[in-house]
Amino acid sequence: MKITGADKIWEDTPIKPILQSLYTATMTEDRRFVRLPTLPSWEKLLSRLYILPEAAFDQKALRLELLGLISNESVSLSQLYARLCVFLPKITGCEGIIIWGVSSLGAQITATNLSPKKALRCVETRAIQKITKPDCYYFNKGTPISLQINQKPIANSHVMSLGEFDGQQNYLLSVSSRLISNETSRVFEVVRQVLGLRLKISQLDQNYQQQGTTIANLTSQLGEGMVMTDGALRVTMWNRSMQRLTGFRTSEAINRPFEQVFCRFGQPDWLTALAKATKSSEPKHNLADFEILTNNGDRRWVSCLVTIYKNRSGIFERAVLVARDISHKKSLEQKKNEFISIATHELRTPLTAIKGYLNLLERKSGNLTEKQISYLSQATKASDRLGSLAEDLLRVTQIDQDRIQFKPQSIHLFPLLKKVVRDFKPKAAAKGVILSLTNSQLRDKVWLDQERTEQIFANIIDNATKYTERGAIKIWLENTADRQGLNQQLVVNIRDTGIGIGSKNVEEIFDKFHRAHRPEQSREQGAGLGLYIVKSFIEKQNGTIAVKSRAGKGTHFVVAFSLEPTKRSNK
Amino acid sequence: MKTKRGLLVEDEPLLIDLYQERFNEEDFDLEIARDGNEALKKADHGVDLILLDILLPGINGFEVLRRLKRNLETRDIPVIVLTNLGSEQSDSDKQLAFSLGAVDYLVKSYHTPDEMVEIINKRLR
Repeated sequence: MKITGADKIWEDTPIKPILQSLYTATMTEDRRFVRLPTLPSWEKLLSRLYILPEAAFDQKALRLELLGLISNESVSLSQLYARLCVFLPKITGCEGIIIWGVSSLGAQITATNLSPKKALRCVETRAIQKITKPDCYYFNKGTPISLQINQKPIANSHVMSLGEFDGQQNYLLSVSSRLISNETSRVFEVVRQVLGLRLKISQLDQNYQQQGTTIANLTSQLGEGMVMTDGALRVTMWNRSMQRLTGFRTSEAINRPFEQVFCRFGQPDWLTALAKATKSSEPKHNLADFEILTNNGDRRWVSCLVTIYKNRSGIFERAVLVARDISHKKSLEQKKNEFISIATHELRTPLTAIKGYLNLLERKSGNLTEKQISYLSQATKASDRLGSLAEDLLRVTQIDQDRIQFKPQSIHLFPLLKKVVRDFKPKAAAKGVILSLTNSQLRDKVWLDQERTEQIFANIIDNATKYTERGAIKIWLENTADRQGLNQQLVVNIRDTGIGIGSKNVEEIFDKFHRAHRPEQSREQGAGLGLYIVKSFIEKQNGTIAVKSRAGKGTHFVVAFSLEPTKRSNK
Repeated sequence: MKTKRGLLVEDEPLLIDLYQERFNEEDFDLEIARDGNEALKKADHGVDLILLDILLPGINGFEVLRRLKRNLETRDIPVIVLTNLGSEQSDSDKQLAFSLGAVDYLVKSYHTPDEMVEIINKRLR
C-alpha cells in the first residue's frame, strides 16, 4: 500500500524503530506465551494515521508525538493514560476522555480530563451497560447525555476496549458535543491498536517476571542444589541449597567459572570434559556420585544429575546441574562395607581351620566307612561354598569402595581364554557338555589386568558350565568396530545351550545379589554376586558386557574390549 | 632326623595345631613363634623357610619382615607371607609384602594344608 504524504515523515521520525521493536517484541513473545488477535502491519497503522487532508497536516506532528508516547515503554501505563487524556482532545476535538477499568472487584476510573463527578456520570450513563464484549466499541450519535462540558451539551460518545492488563479490562470513552467523524474514529482505532500492543507487552512482561519469581521461589525452596551455567560454563543461577552444599554464597558464585565453585575432588575439569564429550544436540543427562571440595576445604559426597544442552550446530549452550548431599548415606555405606570387610576377614580364620581339618581327615579316609566319606565330601563342599561366598562378599565391598587395583598390561586374549577353558574342561566333561574354544588367528593385543580378566572369563564360563545340562558351550573371538564405528574392539563370545534366562530377568542378572534362577530351576547355589563382579571388572577396564538369552534356549554373553591401549584403565 | 627346618609365625592355636599336624608328615621340622618378637629371636641361619602371618600381637608381620631383611644373618631366609589379610590378586598388602622381600603371598583360607605343603616343597626344591 502506498502511503500518501506520509513516507517522508515516516523516514524522518524516531518512531519507526520504536514501533518496529514493539511489534517484533510482541510477536516474538506471543509465540512463547499467548496468541494475539491478528494485527495489522505497522505500515497499515501508519497509513491510517497519515491519510489526512492537507489542511490537517499540522496535526501530523501531534499524532506522531501521540504514537511515540504510546510506543514508549519507559512511560508507565498510568502516566500514559493521563497523557492520553490530554492529547486525545487536541487531536480529535472530543471534549472529554475517560479511561476506566473493569475487574471482578468492579469498575474504576483510571484517568480522565474531566472532573471525577462528570467522568463518573459519563461512564454510568453511556458506557457500562453497552459493553457486552471486551473488543467491541460503539458510536453513539445524537443522543445527548444530560451533561454539559464547557457549556456545551454532550451529544456524542465513543467507547472502545483497550485490552486486558493484570486481570482488568480497560476501556476508553470519549465524549463530544460534535459528531465524531470517520477521520476521528480512524485515529481512535490506531490508538486502540497500538495501545493494545503496549498492554499486551506489559502483560507479557509481568507474566515473565511472575514466572521468573515462581521459578526463583521454587528453586530456592528445593532441598537439592541447583545450578545453571552459560555456554562459557559460568554460573548464571545458584540456589540456596547449593550455598549450603558448597559453602559459596549465590553472590560469590554468579558469573564465576562453574568448576571454581563446584570442585569435583580429583577431577576438577569434569564438566568441561563432559561438555566436550557430549556430541548430541538432544539434551543429555548424566548421573554420577562423587566427592566435592567445599569452600572451607571439606570433602562432601554428592549425587549429581547434569544435563548438557547443545544447539543443532553442536555448540555447547548451557549445563543444568541438580546436586544432592549424600554424605550421610555414603558414611552409612562405608560403615556397612567396613563391617562386611572385617566380618569376612574374621570368617577366614575358622574357615581355614574347618577346611584344613577336613583335609587332614580326608588324608586318613582309608579308616572311614563309605557313609563317613560321603559326609566328609559334603562338609568339604559346604566349606568351599562358604569360602567363595566370603571372598565374593569381600570383593563386592572392595568394588563399592573403589579399592580394587588394576594393573593393565598389553595381553593376548586367546592364550588367556585357552587356559581358563582348560581349567573348566573336566567339570563340563563330567556333565557330558562340550566346552570348546574356536581357534583364532586374531593376535591383537588388549590393555588389561591379566588376573582380573582371567577372573572375568572364569566366572562366565563357570556359570555356563553350571547352568548347561546338555549340549555345548562355545567360545570364540571376533574383531569388530564399536557401536559408533570409531574404535576397533576385540569381542569374546560365550554361548551355551543351557537353561537360559527369562527375558524379564535379562537386564537384572548383573545386579548385586540377583539370582536369575529359582531353586526349582537349578540346583546350583550362590549369592548372586558373580556377574556383578564380572560387570564391575569389565567396566573398570573400559569394556562392555551384553547378554542375550531365552528361557530354555541358552545364553550368549558378549564381552568387548577396546584395542586401543588406554591409561584410563588404571583406575 | 628331618632335613628341613621351617619357622611358622602364627598366633592362632587352631591353625598352629593344624599346620604342625600336617607338616609332621613331611620332611620338615616346624618350629612355632607366637608373636613378632619371638619370630625375630627364633629366626637364625639354620631356618630354611619362614611362614609369616601379618596380624600378630605386638609388632606386625610387615615390621617383622622389614627387620628380618635388615639383619645380615636372616636376610637370605625365604619368607612366605601366610595370612588371612588381603587377597592373592593384585592387592596393596601383597604388593607391600613383595616390596619388603617376601617370596610369596598366600591367603590361608584359599589353601588346604596339602596345597600348602605342595607350594612349600616347590619353593624349597
